[in-house]
Amino acid sequence: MSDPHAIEISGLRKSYGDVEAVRGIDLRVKSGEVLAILGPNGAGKTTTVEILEGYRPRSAGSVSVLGADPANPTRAWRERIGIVLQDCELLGQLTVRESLAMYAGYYRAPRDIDETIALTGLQEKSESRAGHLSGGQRRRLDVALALIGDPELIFLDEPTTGFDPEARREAWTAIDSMRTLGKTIILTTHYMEEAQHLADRVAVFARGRIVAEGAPDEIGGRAEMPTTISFTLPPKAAASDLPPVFRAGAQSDGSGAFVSVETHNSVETLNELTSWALERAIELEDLSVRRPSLEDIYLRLTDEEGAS
Amino acid sequence: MSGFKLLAHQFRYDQKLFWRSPPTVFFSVALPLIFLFLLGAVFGDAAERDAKYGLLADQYLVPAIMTLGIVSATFVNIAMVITYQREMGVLKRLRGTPLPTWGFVGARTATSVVNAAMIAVVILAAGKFAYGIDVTLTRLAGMVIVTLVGSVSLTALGFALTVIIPSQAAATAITNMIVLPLYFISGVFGSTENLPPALATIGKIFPIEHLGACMFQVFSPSATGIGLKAADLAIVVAWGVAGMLFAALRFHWEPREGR
Repeated sequence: MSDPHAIEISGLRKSYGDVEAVRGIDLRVKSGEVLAILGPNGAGKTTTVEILEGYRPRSAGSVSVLGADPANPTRAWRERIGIVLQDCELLGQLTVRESLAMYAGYYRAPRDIDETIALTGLQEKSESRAGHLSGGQRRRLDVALALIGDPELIFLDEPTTGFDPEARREAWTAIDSMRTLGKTIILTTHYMEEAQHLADRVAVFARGRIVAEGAPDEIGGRAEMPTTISFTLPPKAAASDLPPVFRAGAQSDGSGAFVSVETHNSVETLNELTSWALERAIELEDLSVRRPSLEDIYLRLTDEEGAS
Repeated sequence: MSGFKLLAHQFRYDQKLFWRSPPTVFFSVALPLIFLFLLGAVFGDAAERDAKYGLLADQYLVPAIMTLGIVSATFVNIAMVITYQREMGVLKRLRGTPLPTWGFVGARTATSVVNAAMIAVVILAAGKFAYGIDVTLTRLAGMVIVTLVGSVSLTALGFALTVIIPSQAAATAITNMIVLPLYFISGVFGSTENLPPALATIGKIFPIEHLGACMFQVFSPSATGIGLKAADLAIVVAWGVAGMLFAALRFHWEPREGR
């Protein structure tokens, strides 16, 4: 019964009139996997997800979600899916508990309401009306509502867009709790940090296509990319005196030099630098060793696509 | 969950939502009562009877405001609330759950019919205490039929109207633009005898005039039996069926600017 793949997509296309929003997507998502779909606005993320959720018909390609075609959603299929939408008001006049009880009534085997409230950290707000919750609390209720039917697969469409950092952390905690339950999760976002924090795998969308796919640490050749070492050289030290690898990376601006180099061998290079500085008792201001962030990769990938 | 249980479940929450929304309660319950008393204060003492039904001014007012109450609890309420919920994504979220369409529409219709019936009873009671208007038990049967059939039909038309309303901002304007002139030319705010015939004829095209006619008949001393005007009720039903079909074909669950 248990299909190893929760989602299988091949050759998916979707046009709105003359505009092709999705231009040939192939993707598989394993059961129990957390996949983040990254991409700028208009990349086709939401369109793709809404096709998977059974909201939109597709123009071409084949799609299987939990073994069924989402173009014909049945009640039984809907029972196995939880959805957190992007812009979607709660019923402000119902309390948190009432909202959950209302939605629980649509499912044959819903989760326990108190347990779901606890899971999303809403215990203290369970008797508050949804209209009186903060942004972060509302989002947690959105997540709780998506969980109440005890689905196998959960879609989260930009779950933290427009949130302040605290609310974002709150939402992440709620999403982490879903992972703990072993759910398959599809998450769209344009926050790299969010994908890095939550996802097992990332698919980068640009202009209706997937331009890269992989684990957050490896995507786009991230694991093979050089590390950047940078620092500011005090005025008393001369850039020409630096170890050879660093000389080329120095940009003098009069009062001192800003130095930045890329290396595949960060430990050795860094050792060379610090030994040199220790010998001469030179303080290296703003010394930083930085691996390319997911954001660097993302910008590079989506840029390349834009230029081509 | 069985069909009936699911309907009862959703009905319970729809009722909660209705009663916890002060503006909705005001427009649905309080406003018709205000109209009843204000119009009663202005015209209630007039001694002449209307030509069609033989009703005194205060006897005319009660069925007229009952008609207004039913239209407002069903057609107006559905058009405004469903549009709001569509534009705010509430319907889209519901669409993503196993709640079937019949469960959603059935429960909303039930809420709407129950509210209309409740308002009819409130106005009838107010009419009895304020103006001493009485209805016989036989006529009460006619009134129940008119209220139920009328409120189901106008609920369907409310669903149909949401198809035409493009945005949340337009909901109030469009709904009132339809309903307010129709009240005037359908005899809700006083007999149509004094209207230019052209306007009265236009009024007769739409269901509010015919729902009103059915209500007036129930109170009319010249009526017989349970006081049912079958032809008028049939027109109300025809409008309701047309609304239902239109909504079934064209209803949308998401804002038009859907991605």
